[in-house]
Amino acid sequence: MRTIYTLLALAMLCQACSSQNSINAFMEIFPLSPPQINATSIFFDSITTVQLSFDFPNAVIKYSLKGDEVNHNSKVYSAPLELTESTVIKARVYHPDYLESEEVQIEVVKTSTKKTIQEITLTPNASENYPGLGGAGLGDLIKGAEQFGGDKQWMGFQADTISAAIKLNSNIEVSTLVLSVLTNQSNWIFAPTRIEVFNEGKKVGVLSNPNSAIETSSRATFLSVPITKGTYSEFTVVVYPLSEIPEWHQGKGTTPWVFIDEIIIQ
Amino acid sequence: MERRKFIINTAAASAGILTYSSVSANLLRYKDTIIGRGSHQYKIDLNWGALNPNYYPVNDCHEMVQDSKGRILLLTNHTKNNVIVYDRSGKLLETWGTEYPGAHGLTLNVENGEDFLYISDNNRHEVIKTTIDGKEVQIFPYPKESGKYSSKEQYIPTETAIAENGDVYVADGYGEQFIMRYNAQGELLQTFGGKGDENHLFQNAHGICIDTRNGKKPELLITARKQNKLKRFTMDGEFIESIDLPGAFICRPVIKGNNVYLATIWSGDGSDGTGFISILDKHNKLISAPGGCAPFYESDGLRPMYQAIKIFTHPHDVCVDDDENLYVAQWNSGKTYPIKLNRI
Repeated sequence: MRTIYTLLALAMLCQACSSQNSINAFMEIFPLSPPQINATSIFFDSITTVQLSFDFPNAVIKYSLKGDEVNHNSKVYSAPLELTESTVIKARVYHPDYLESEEVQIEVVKTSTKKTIQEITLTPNASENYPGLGGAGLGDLIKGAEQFGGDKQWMGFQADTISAAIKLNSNIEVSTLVLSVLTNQSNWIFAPTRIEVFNEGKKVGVLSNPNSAIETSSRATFLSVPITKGTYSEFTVVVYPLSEIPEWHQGKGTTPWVFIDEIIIQ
Repeated sequence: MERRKFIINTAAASAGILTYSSVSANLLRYKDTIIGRGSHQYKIDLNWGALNPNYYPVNDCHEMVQDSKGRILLLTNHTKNNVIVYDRSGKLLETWGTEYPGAHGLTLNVENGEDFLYISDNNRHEVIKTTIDGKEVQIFPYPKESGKYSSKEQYIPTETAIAENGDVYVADGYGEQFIMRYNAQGELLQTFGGKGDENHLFQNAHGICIDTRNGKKPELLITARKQNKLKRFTMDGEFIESIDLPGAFICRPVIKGNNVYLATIWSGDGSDGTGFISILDKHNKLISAPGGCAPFYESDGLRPMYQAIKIFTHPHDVCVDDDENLYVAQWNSGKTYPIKLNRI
């Protein structure tokens, strides 16, 4: 999409150059920025409210709740959305004169807000530059911001594997383990490529994430690992980053960063 | 003001002539982009200042000033031509400078009728004073005598401001966040500020200027970019007030008339590719944000700002000319030349 804008802008520029006078830029060559998107709480046990906003004359926000792409026919946003189930909310801004914005999304997760995790021990420890709040921060149900700089929730790792030994508060029934990670490829942060979950040495869950190496916009993502249904009191989660940054990236061949801010047991 | 009116009239006249050409008939179907609000609205000039990058390359376009002859000077960290001089129509006049790999801050000061430039260089860790055509006349080296630094590399000056009495203030915006105050001879008189979240301290003391609006006693305006704040200090370094501009990562304050103009390099949550221009009134309230959302003050202050239109990519400085048109220099924008905004 960006290439199209650039080409358009260049075409306009060429027309401009052919004239002696200065030429004003038309509205049609500029896209709007994406809408602001906020949830009262990302993790909730009964209800959460998602608010979209864009303070700009004649702009209209459209959104979807089922994970499908937002287009002209999507619903028009008029009031905060009250959600009672886990949902991916996507939104764009439209305008009669400017080009529509890129899509933004936020994912809200219904989960017990009772703390289920007693202790998390990490091997290796997070990088000194992005220490987060240690193991305790991964179980605090407080989401890190997408803009990670200065946000204490995120733990950053640059390692072959990251292993988290999790002790639960009691024996509980578990069906899913969710890892909340950051993708910010322009800052060399890639989502993990694979997650394995063990209980007493036995593999009880695995998730492959082949999209990790594909170029994508920055976002916080939840990776849900299905767990063999049962009652558990501990897990070991092994996180595999990409072995190296892919060919298309300026950092190709080097070890990418993995940023984690939360582990949720459902 | 008269001059502005004249230009508007001429523009209207030439638009009239243009209607008869087929190309422009095509163009005129489209609506001109108008950005900003109220008294500060602008059209975007696509024709200004673009050069052949094979001959006159830029990396980051860091700062711009207008000199006493009305010429527009651009400072870039490309050592083929650190300084690019344009006339106001955007025509290239000359280039100079190959010794400023970290060229970042550009301040113009008129001393005994002569224009001088102060270049803050991030890589050289010093400030260089030159004549308007690039002869070096003085260097303000890393302030070892302040006792705040154990090595030159810790000092990364980003901006200067020169007082009426000749005192030179240097902001160490990428280093330890101190403000150095020298006399004109280059003797260090005072050091204040430093890194921290308290009122009198800074996170990214990126820009500094001297404020004498409304005939008041001179004061310093210093940005704390990472904190989205503009801070007022006395000329002796006493903290006066902090002005909150949430969502606006402001680079340096530039005063013209009663307004403060601030290139805003990131906006909202600080994401890549964001930014706009912030324009404050004489009470230091945000009144127009070209490229940004509509500013709105609630009972507890300015509602957090964010980018609304993708026109700018990381604006780093804004130069305001005699007709109050703006020239916007951008950082990390794909080596693009400045963008001119014509005030309407």
